[in-house]
Amino acid sequence: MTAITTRTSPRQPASATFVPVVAAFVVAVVAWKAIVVIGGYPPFILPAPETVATRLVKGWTDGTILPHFVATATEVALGLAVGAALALVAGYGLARSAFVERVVSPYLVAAQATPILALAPLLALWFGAGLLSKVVICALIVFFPVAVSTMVGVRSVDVGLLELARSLRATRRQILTTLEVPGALPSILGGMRVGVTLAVVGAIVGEWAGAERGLGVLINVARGSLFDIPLMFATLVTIAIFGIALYLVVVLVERRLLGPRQP
Amino acid sequence: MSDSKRTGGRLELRGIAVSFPRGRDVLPVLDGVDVTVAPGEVVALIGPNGSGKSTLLRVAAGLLPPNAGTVTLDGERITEPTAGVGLVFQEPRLLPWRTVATNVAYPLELAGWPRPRRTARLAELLDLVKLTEWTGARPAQLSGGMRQRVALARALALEPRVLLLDEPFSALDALTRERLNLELLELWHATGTSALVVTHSIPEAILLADRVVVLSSRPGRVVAELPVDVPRPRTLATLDDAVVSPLARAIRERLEDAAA
Amino acid sequence: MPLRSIPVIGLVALLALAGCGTGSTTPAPSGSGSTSLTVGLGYIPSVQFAPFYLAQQKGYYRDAGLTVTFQNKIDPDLVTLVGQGTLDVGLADGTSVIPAVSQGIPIRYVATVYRQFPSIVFAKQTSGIAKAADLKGRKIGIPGRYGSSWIMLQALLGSANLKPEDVTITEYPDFGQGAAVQQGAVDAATGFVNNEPVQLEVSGVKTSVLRVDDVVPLPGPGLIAGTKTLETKRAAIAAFVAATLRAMREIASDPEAGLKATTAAVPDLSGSPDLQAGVLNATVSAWKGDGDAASFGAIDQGAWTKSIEYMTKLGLVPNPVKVDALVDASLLPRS
Repeated sequence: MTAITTRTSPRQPASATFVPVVAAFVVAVVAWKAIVVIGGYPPFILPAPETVATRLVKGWTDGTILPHFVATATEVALGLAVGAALALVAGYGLARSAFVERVVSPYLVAAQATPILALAPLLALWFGAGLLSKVVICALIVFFPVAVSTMVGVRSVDVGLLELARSLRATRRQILTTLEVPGALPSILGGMRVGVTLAVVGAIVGEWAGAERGLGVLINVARGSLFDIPLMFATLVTIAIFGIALYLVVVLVERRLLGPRQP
Repeated sequence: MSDSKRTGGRLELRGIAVSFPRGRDVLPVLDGVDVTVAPGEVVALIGPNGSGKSTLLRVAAGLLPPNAGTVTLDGERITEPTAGVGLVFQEPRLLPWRTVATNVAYPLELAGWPRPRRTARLAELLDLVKLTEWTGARPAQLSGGMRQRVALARALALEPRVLLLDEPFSALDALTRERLNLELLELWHATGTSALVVTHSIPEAILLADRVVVLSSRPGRVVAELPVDVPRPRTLATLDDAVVSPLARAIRERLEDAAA
Repeated sequence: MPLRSIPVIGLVALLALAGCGTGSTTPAPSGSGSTSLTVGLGYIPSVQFAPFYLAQQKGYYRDAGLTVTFQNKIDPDLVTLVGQGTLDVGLADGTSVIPAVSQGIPIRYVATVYRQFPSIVFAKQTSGIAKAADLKGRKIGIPGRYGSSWIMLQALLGSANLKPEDVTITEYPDFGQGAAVQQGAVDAATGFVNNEPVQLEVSGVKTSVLRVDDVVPLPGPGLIAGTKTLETKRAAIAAFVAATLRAMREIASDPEAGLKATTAAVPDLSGSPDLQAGVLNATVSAWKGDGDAASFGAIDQGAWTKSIEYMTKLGLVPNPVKVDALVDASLLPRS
């Protein structure tokens, strides 16, 4: 009995993905510079990439950006933890109980449809201008995508496998740990990809509704108080890199947990 | 052969009736079915589509409570899944994220076997289905036939006294199917479990079974039981002969009557 | 002038931040051949903008050949928009002009509106805080460690040889520090001379106010324009300045006219006449400072120079600037 050769896509050499990514980045930077030069924009409207790069390095080395980054990162980390944890539980409940789904879904969708930008000031009013309100906002914004992807993932577990488990007298807990969790994981991680990037957005929006520290606060201060537009752009770049880094973490976790499963 | 008579269990299905609610109506699927599998015996269950063969198997496995009738294994009532009954489904139903080894060991894991015992039993099982070299492979890397062998090994993990097989090779190509049927025969010779096999193929029924039970179309009832007097061990030649045998013709006639 | 900063970034565009916003009020009837000006007031409609409402209603701008459109909303980008030329004129704080020009934003301060620096520290009289030294060890509420109020606070503390570490600072990013003083959550707070103290007094609470003018003569809010705009619309801007100063003098001698003009422009404000009158009076005093209505608009170059020095010490002036790069008094009407 011969086996079909593995249908996993062969791991491409690192250079195959690396080169196009770097090339795309270079093209983007060149286009940015071109826009600045051709449009004749002054640095207080649109700084050139090298100006932003210099300000970025300076901002990090002279300690301007770091304390704000730590504040935002803390909000994101806690908000993610709380939001994702609740979402996993909720998603499971939604998947396994038609009653829960019928009762809870409308409120879930309503909460999602209300723009965070409108909710943020309310939340700042109720929870104060400290860490708590930002954590709540981040958790809220992360909740929906992770809950839905968990629900979809749990539901996608092959009914045949569930019957198999039943025939082997698996307990509810064993079904959860041996079937539902591994079966739902691809979908859950997909939801986490969305969630982590949204969490960063949530933290910034939360800070705009009232905060003492954070990258969102720094954007405002740079723009409205210091008139240091290069610093504002450098902060935006920092936020973008942070979001990308979080996304990559999820991708790596995904590869580690799911890799050998393909296709 | 006497060994096999000792390890196999006696499965008795008495008066099994099953109906499913369909809107306001009730759809009777099985209507008083009696089937017995003697210790070490292989019984083939054959019938037209919709005769409730799979349903009967689920009742026998304890997965579906019948509306009437009893299932006993060596005298004990079966009302829910039990280690004494092993199940092989039509599809392999392997956990795609697990290796061959951890798939086969799944029942042992669920039953709480300590690791050393699991490892030992696993080695036996893989040897039985000749998949020892593939312990670390994933289902995606295996052919259809290999996957069913994994499912088979898994079904035998807890040393069941009776094996229930629901058209186990119907999804495979004909040549693979033949080969797997022979392997199944070897397995029975090695383990001595009793078996109830649902099949669509008359030659396959003759190749595998000691007795062929013919079910009518819905609602399913036993319309004939034909003994298979072909001596064991059986080979592919048996299969070829079976196709044109009088027994095959007899079974076919019964089937056609049942479908009418 | 109280500058709220509840901003909305939306998309991060690689292109210009430009945007003429919505929120313009009372467009005047335009005559043919008149120059149009867009003026950003930087805050929501308020009785403190009475001279603009009055000048618009009485046709002072129209008589000067101008069609003026006001943007009467909170605008954190006001200074940048003036520098870019999207807004022709803006009302902005002198302490914003200094770092802005230092960062290369091409604007000039062309007329003073508030001679007294309106950002102050206020407290209930019962707190016993009457001078800067009294703040030592007390709890002070601020919106945040940025902006004119933060600069003012540091200067005030410095005048009593105090540093921010010598007091307990509580941040109220939602601008609730006024309520905090009222409830006693803090002993004092930063605010604006024509806002929180007036509200407290009207509700029957006597307040004491600490000003920074004697410590460092920080430049208060005034009219600013972009250098490019000054090249192309110089005469129009000078006319706008003259008409606005005229309206200010009129209100200084007849505050009732200012109140009437405000309620005509902003009917919502007609419900609290005592409060509005109090705010207007405080505003007019702040316009006058220790001078009089005749010297409205005048720019004190010496005060600006001192302020540049002070803000440089605070590290807010990354590239050194001189007064003539900041102010342009030549548009003021020859009196």
